Amino acid sequence: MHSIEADVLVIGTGFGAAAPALRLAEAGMRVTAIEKGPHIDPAKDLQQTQDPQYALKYLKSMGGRNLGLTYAEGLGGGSPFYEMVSLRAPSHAFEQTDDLGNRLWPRGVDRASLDPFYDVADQMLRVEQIAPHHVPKSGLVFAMMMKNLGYTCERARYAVQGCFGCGFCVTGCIYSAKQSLLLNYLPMAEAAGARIETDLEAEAIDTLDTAEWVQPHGVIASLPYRYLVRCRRRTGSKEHIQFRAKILILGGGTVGTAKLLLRSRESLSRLSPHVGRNIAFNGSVKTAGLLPPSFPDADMFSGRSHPGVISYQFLDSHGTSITVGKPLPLQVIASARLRLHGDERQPTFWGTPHVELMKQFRHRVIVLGAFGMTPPLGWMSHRGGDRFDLHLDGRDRLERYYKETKGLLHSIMRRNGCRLRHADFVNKEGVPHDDLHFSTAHHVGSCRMSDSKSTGVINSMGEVFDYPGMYVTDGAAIPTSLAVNTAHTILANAERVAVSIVERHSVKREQIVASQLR
Amino acid sequence: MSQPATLPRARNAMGRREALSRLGLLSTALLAAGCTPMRIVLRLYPAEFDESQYRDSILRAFVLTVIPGAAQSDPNLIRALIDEDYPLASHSGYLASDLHHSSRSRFGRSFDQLGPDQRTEIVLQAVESGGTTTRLYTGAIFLTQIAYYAGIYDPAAGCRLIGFDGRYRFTGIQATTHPNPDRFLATTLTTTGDPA
Repeated sequence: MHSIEADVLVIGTGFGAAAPALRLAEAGMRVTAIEKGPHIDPAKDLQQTQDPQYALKYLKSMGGRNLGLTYAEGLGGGSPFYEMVSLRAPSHAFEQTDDLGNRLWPRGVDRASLDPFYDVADQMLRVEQIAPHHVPKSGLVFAMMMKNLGYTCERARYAVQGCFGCGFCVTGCIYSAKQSLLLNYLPMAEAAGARIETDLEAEAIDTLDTAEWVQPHGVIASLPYRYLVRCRRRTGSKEHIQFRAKILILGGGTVGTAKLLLRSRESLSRLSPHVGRNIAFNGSVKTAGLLPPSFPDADMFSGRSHPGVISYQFLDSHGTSITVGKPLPLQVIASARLRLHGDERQPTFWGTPHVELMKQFRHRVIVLGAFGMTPPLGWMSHRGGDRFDLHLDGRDRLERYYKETKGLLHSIMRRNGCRLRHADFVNKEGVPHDDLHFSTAHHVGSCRMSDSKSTGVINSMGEVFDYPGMYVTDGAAIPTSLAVNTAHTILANAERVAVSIVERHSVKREQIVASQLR
Repeated sequence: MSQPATLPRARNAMGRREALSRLGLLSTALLAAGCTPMRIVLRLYPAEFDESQYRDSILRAFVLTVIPGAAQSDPNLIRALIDEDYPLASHSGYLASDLHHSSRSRFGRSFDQLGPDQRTEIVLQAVESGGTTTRLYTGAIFLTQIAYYAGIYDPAAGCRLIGFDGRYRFTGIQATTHPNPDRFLATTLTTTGDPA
């Protein structure tokens, strides 16, 4: 077995992993980052297609009866495929509490404490508020609906430069307008000396007997090698490689990090029982309607895939943000069986009535979507090997939330004169979910940060309780739903943790902050 | 495509027994009950429904039933149903066989010779019949819709029926928005992304 030593091993290359890889390499540490998925060259590998086989190469899912999680595997994690939305989580999100009234975020972590790191993330990803004359038609129609009812609506912020609205954001931007991590953090990390390996999966973590289990302080050179990570190449010879690392950064995503720790539980016996639990998922609720003739064209198939606007009007009252969904055809028909309310014709989801709706889809349909601060009620269990199950508790609460949120969206539609569409969401086989079901790419919290091991897996600085030098910096660390897209908060938090790691190992905070802002 | 003069002959019975023997775990009771999964696994339907022009003709009629108005000349019309990359490929022969037998039994003609309403009736009945048959038909409908509407075999062409243009051809940002956007935009609540 091939064996490699590194000061820092970073598992993953997405939003939670790229910032530590860059900052620790800049601080002079020997950093290796490993990615389970394939290398991605935007110019060669990304395609403008709706072919499921292409999507499945990079986008994976984990499904349970009531909850489905989608995530990316590939260089840059979800960043080549996300919608570029770069919103800061509102203060409300940080003040969520558990059933006993205890704040879910640890002491000292809130919107104000993250703001300097959001600033850094904004700068790195060249985030800007969309200009009015770039807002896609569907976003303008949604804004008009809100305006008609006297509600507020914001132009959203995006990590993009020079977008001309081709609409294929979620299959990967072939023009390199989207500021994915492939254009900034990852090449910068390599330039700073980090080594990045793709198609290499971390299978298990073990501790090294020689490690002294005290808090590691001092310069990196003085630290012992503490962790052994066994990996397997996923292509070619499928060789086994093991890494010995002084600092271990887990950044493989909410699903990936939890799975790795659950697989390693036998050798990491002091892990918190909360590993794999407390998954929050931004309770996504969608509803569709047919626009009345008084509204202009909502062109669903052109312009950037996120519609450019978001409304916080109901954040206080309902705990949700609202925007308009702008799905490409594959997503529409893959996730919903659409029919008009009151249309009793058979068949319902195929044949003539369905084709009539699909023909109107591009120009006359509007899809409203809400992201809510739903409680962290998802969890995964390990059955052994690589078999995991996904569960969702709190059915009654979530049913209430779903019904109320859907009622709100329907109300906005109806008061604007829309005719509602009914949608039965289906599973991968095309069979409708016969139960409450949330599907999301905004899953967080499976190894959440908390004030104590009795309520979480890592401390407020990202370090795993009882495992000095092991950090979780990805979505798994984020303890609550955010009511907005999660990527920017994951990145800002990863920047925050990276600064603290550098600080602990004798590089002054000012140096790294100066480096971040360079 | 006209239907065969006689119904296609059944597969070799010895082959079925050998298959059963090899699988070992399958019970003859299930087989006797005509359990649909077993019929698919053991290919207990006429061989002519596998990889034949007749099968293709029936599947083509199926797609045109699911998506009335789909282009009959589209060379990729049934491709998803027989593409080994998708799960329907191993069931497509059975699907064609089932459509054939249902339409013969109900209307005395092959499925591909029926009118649109009769074809719809056959598919609707199968979708509502429950159990594995429902799963097979809803799966086939689902895959058909994805493949056709999203134009998965010709990304450049998209889907003319629903106005999906496929691969991007430069039109400029102005084509994606409305003129004078300020007339649409509502009052804003926050300049910092924090409405608290």
